[in-house]
Amino acid sequence: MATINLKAFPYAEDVACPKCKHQITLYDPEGSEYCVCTSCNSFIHFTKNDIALIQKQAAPISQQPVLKLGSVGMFKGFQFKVIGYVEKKEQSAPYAWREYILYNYEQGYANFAEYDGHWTFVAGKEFYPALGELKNRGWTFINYEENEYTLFSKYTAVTTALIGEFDWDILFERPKTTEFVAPPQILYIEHVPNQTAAQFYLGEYTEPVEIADAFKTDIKLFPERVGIGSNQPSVHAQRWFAIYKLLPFIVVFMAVIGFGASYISPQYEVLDSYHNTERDTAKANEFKPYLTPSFELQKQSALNFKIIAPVDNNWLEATVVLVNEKNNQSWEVTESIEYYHGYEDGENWSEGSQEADVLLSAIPAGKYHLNIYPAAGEPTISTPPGAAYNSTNPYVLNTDSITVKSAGPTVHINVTANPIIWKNFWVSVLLLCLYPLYTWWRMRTYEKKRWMNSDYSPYETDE
Amino acid sequence: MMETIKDARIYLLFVLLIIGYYAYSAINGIAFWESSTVTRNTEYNNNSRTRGVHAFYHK
Repeated sequence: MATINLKAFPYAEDVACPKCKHQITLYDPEGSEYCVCTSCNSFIHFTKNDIALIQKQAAPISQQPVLKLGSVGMFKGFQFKVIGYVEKKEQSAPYAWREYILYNYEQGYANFAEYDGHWTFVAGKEFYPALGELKNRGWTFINYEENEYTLFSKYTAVTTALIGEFDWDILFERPKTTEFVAPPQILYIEHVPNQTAAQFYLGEYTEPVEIADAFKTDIKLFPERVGIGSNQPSVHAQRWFAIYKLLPFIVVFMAVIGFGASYISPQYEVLDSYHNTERDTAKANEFKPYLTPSFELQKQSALNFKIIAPVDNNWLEATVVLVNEKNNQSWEVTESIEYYHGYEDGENWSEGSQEADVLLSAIPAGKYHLNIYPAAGEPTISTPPGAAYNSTNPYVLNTDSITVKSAGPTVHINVTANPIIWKNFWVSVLLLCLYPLYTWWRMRTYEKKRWMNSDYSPYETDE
Repeated sequence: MMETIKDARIYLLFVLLIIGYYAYSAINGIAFWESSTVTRNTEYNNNSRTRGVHAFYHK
């Protein structure tokens, strides 16, 4: 067992390798039971009587450790000393990673795991007591401290090379490891065969610069990062979850602004005109143009024209010209209204509408009137020969051509200033959703790349 | 909350621009999409530009 509950690191001691007599420095001489000779790579076991026995010949390390043995650094509020360096791989796959064994004189062991330049600080229940309450239930997720950890990988770890000192037989153990991720955290469950309980470890993704700063090491020595780490935090996910939290408040804020604006500039009717159209007999389908009474806009406003004509199996087209009486600036709108209905194959049908809406933007303050140029189709209703035109019977008979012509429908034009423009609201909401959608897409792309390294990806593998 | 605002700071700048223009439009009667049938004749006071989807003609 590592020596703990001390107030400072214990004094280092040198021991001689029983094979080559090389002096090996032990940084926790009381706690360490195994060490590796840096000269001949003998894996040495210290028995209870402090007799050093060579247990096995360890393979030489393939990479020089970035953090030197014996280097000290303050990390996450704890003072650590690097006392071991281990190279590991998956038993049935070529994936290899490196672990730096860290010793703290109060709590015991922790480590830095480095894979493809991605660093994770890993510690057990000595540093995270809540880990002691977890049970291995073989599920595909684990809930721990408000995070849901999802199964990422399962493998058996094998130690391929090592240097330094240890308090357990690391060279021969083959722990079956299961990883669950909730970036930037990762949970490891290690189950060593023939041991009853699985051990839980919590890892947190760590930027190399933090480690370099803590252990006063040149950042240039750190391996280059490759790909996406299993627990590497996604900046896109951070942005997405932040936006996801804020978006409802923003939409409510927009609605408040909309209602506030309608309070400051309330909607009001500026014109409500009814006119019985009178056919211009000189031109087919056209009616005599007419002018509406004047109206005044106190300030720049949007205007909504509602044009209503009770056409029945007929059409009406009205060209409406809004004219500023001061400078003759004008806005011209041509709207068609069509409404047809009937009974066919045992069913009633109808199409079109008897009204149309037109929205004009930013009409300056001033005095205005409307010039209206109506046109409409022939009515389908005929009147008895000889019937006279009057207000209740707007149809007349042209006896020369035996065709029916009418006085045309009544045109009702209602003009509203400062209408509530819902399209503005929804367009703004749509624009506000563009960046969140982009962020969500980036997050999803990032996560798909991360999970490409897993056999348990929740994403479609053929995408 | 500060962390959330920090993570969403780019978006919040975007939000300020959109909400600012939305508020300005709401107060000044600007419709983002005027009806497509509207033709503006600016042929007044010696100005001869015409804006809109149809060529303007005066009946």
